[in-house]
Amino acid sequence: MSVTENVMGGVIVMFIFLVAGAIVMHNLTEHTVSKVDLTKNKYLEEAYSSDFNAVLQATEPTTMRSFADLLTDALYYRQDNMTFGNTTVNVRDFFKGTLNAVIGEDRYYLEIKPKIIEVSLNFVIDGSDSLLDERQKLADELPSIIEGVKKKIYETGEEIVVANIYILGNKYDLKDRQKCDIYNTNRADISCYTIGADELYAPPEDFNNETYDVNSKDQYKVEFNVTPPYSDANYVRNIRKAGEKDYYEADWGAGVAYASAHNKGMAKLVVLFPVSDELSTSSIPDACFHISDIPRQKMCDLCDTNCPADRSAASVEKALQVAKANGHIVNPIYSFNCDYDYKPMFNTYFEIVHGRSTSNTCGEAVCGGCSVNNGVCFHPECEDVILEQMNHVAGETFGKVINLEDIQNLVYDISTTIDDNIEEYKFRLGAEYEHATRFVSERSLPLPNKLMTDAKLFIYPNKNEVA
Amino acid sequence: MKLFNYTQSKRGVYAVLTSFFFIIVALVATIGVLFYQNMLVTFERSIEKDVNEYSVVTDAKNILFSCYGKVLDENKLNESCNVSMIKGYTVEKLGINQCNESYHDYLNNSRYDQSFVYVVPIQEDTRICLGRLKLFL
Repeated sequence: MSVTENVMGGVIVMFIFLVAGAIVMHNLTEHTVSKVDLTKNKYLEEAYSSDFNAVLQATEPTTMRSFADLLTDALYYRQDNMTFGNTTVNVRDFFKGTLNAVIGEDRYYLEIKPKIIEVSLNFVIDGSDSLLDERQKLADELPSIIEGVKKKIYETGEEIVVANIYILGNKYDLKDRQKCDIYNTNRADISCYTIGADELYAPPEDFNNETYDVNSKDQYKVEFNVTPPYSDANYVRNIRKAGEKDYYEADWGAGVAYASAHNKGMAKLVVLFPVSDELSTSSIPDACFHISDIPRQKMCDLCDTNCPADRSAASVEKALQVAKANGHIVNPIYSFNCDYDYKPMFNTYFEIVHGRSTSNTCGEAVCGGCSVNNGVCFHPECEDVILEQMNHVAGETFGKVINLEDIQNLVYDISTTIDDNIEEYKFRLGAEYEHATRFVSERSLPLPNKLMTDAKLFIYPNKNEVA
Repeated sequence: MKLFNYTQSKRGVYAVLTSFFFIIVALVATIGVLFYQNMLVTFERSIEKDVNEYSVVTDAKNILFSCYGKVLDENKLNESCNVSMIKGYTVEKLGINQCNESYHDYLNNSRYDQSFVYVVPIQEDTRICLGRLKLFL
């Protein structure tokens, strides 16, 4: 019995010894293998990083620009076709062909997005009373909009978000200047300006090169020919008591051009929000600017259904040109919610012009320029044109139109739009395989506005390359 | 008096057998562990060779860059660069983006086990083209 015990004891001791030895050896082996994997992966990472450097340094043959410059230009201007002199290069196709040749098809994914450290939010608001609610709501909610954007772009805590409000009105008129009082301009990040004809349009003498200061911030007005819709301001002033204000108070196109030009060349993301319920330069038909008799003029303003689409389009085109040249995003806020300020004096004018009295001009069949529909709608026939023009400027600048059906949604709509603007500010090439083994090389490249951008190249290695 | 009885002598035989068996088992186990350890050492050596290869290749690439420039100067590519730690290298300029294709071969006809490829920038007149630098070990 004791012999058996001795034999079994020996076997058990040896078995334990063997198992313990095997475990120790196995752990050592695993450690060695992982060390090798690490070394091999580090080598591949450095090799691919070197490849990425080489690609960024290469020269595009027709423009002689480096790949890095082309990429950042395509990102900044957010267009694949870049024109330099007489030459147009499709940056996307060009890069695709090059990366396919040097790295291999389906083996890479390139993503570039700017490091956003400063955002400038610019609201260009029609100064008329019909947008009083919108101005007040924006004043109440602006601090929370700013905080929301700060959270969205947070990386180091040094991010800056500022908001500028541009109210279209007469800066020499105390009542118009007081429209800025509702904004908390004591905060360093909120500013408000009243801008009118003097700020929006280039005076004729500016087109004379001898007198014009070419270094001025207002140079854009001459460069893009930003002039009032009626060249003879005195004529308009004589015809209409309110003068040019009837068009510049609603000229959100020229307002956007002004706001964009005054944020030019700064290393930040600039987003412009024109807020309006009218066509740019107002929905008042052209014919009304030639009627001096006040009752007939007012009835024309309200009732004439000839929508001044061309006049507005010319102004919107200026906004588009300036914003595109500066790489700024325009997100127009369409606020056609039928809260037009109806003055009882309109009834008197109606009686003078039509020889009979009325309790509401806009309810009369002869007046199609305004209508009563749970409030007074000013020029409902222009509604589609306003949206069309807003969509045009938004589409061309990579923004989107906010259709403000309920003013309570203002903060949500603005915040989600800014989120989209930031997300869409990317250039992507190749296929992204989220769960595949990949090596990532990252470079910081400067954009034309000095904003830095992160370029990341994901390379999916061949199976035999991976440790 | 009986010095040994039958049971005692039987116990002695078993004790010898047990000890013998114990020694055999211990010997086998030790040989097994030693064999396993030896295998591991061999495996580690081969791995160290691989790890060493990566650092040799990186050093060789840096030497080539110091010979031809970080952007490889095409005019200098006609001359070989002395990189003793590798068996040879080739530089191929790719015929893409309107660049002229070219090939420079500095292999010494010896057998090679492995090759490592890098994408490199190559200066052609006033522009920078892309090429492949292949190192052979």
